[in-house]
Amino acid sequence: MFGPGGVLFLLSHEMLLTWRNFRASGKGRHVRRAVFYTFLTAALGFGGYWAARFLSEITPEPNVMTLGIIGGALTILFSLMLSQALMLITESLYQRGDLDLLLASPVPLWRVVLVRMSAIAINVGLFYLILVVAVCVWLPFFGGWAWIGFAPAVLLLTLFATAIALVLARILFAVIGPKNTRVVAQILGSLIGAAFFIASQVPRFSENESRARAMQDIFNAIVPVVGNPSSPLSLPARAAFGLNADLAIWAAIAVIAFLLAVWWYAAGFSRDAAAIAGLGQRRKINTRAARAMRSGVRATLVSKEWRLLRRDPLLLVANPSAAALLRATHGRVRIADQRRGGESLLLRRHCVCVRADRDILRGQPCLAHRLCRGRTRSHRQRARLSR
Amino acid sequence: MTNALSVRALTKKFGAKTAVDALDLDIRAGELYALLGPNGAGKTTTLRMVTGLLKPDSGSIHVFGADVINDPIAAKRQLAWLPDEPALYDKLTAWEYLEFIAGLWGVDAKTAAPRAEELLKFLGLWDNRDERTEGFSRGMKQKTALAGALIHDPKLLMLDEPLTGLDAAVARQVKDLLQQRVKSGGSVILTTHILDVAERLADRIGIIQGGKLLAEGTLTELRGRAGGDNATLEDVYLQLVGAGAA
Repeated sequence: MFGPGGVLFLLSHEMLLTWRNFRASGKGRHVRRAVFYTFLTAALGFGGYWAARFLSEITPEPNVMTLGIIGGALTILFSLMLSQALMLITESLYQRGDLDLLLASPVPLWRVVLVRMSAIAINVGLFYLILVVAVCVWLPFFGGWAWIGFAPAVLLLTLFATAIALVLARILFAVIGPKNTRVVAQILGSLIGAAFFIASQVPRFSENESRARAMQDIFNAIVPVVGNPSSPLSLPARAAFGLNADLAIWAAIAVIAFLLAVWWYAAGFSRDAAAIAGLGQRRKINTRAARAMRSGVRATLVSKEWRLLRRDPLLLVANPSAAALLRATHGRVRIADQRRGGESLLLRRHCVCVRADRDILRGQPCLAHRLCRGRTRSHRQRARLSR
Repeated sequence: MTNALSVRALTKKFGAKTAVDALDLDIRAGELYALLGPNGAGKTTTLRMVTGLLKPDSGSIHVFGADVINDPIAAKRQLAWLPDEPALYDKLTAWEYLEFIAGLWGVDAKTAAPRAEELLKFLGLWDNRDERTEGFSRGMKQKTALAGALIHDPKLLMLDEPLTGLDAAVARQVKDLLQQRVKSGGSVILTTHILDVAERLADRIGIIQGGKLLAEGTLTELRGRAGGDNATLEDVYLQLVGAGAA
């Protein structure tokens, strides 16, 4: 576990990479950064101080209302964690290029997956944990020991959210395949993350009286569910009340769920990774661009121009005639306009968006000689005029 | 004597396409074997199956007697794999990268350090050891990855297009290292499109197409097949691959 290739060795490597990537993502000078982090630490310190003072004055009683409020807060946290974990899991398969290296090494597969998923859980939970710890460090000073369980409860919630995200990712892979999983997982992650924000905005579209009623309805719907002391759904909230049996049960559930999810995910990990590397089954590409490619040079050019315009609408401003020309050329232009150097005109019409691609087009065997002929003709015309 | 690599009836299909078709291959210990073939011939797929990155549909693979399918860990301990586009960690220095790779293969830091120093000095990267690889050129990255592949002193080294995109000086360093490796008793398999490299370095050459081994042997043996003592490897290759394609 501690030696080379062990879990901690791999985890420290993951953490080092995360830290360096985090540092590289922050822009600005060292002084500005130092000021920012000092301000952040101070804000967390003061915020934590006041929150701890406030909480210490409340005696935690596991009644429906308190459990409901804490449970609601944890549910929101859970949805945010789930969203982030789902995105990080798909990213770990699609964007990190080191899978070949790790899978070709003699490190067992389960260890690679366990470490990578633990790193994801740490990444997901770190922000929330910092917030919670900022409060918890002050609690002993105000005698608020009863609330100290909040930190481990949040930590365990991270593990549980990562486990659910792993199961979701595995199901997506199995049902819709690795190619679609990336997009669907990102959309799903965003929707889950934004669910509470969207839900909270719904009442805004109704009138004041009904808005208040809607808020009350939502509150009434959530609190009894997550606040019922005998319900398993209130377990995380009960665990947050302190170091008690509920916390031990919650810890066991979260850790076992995480390990089971890792084990299940590892079972298909190398196959999924291979499929993502483009080595799995390949479908025939039948997009509009691919069809155009098969149907000739002109269709390919038109398709390319449309794609550029779609991706960068500024090209329309840069070249106002682009849309009109494309509309005129799309499916109507004939190469037969030989008298006026038709082919070179055709090429010009098709290249309204990016002038720099002329070299590529010149290298294209079908068009190169046409372009040259058109050029020669226009040179001759110019020479005649100058005479 | 145990073969460095023994492949029997190895088959891999991707959908309807058969990438590797009942391939038999034997690489002797202490030889440099070049696997040649056109694009899509099944070279990389074969090597990826040997490294355990892909699961074969049927057949067996043994690395120095260790079964890759049933005992992958034992097999992986003895081999190193360098893909055509090796993945380096941008945010690690060359030295940290080598430390990490050594750790993956269970080599402790004390053993790995002198080996890393030797490799980095040989490849001309010693002065860059504390620089992050994100600033490295392609050649430097390739050399760092090669040093990573050799850090645990593998008995079998497999390289997929190791010289692609390298300038002449770097290519020479890589070739020297491979030759030195073979002289010291290591086994090397490389795939390449540069026939000249195979001609000069390889003890034996295998030509693969459509997932099948078309021909195998020393250059002299292959020349004999092509029916001319003066034929170059290019002549032999084109003759065999052309016949295979037909």
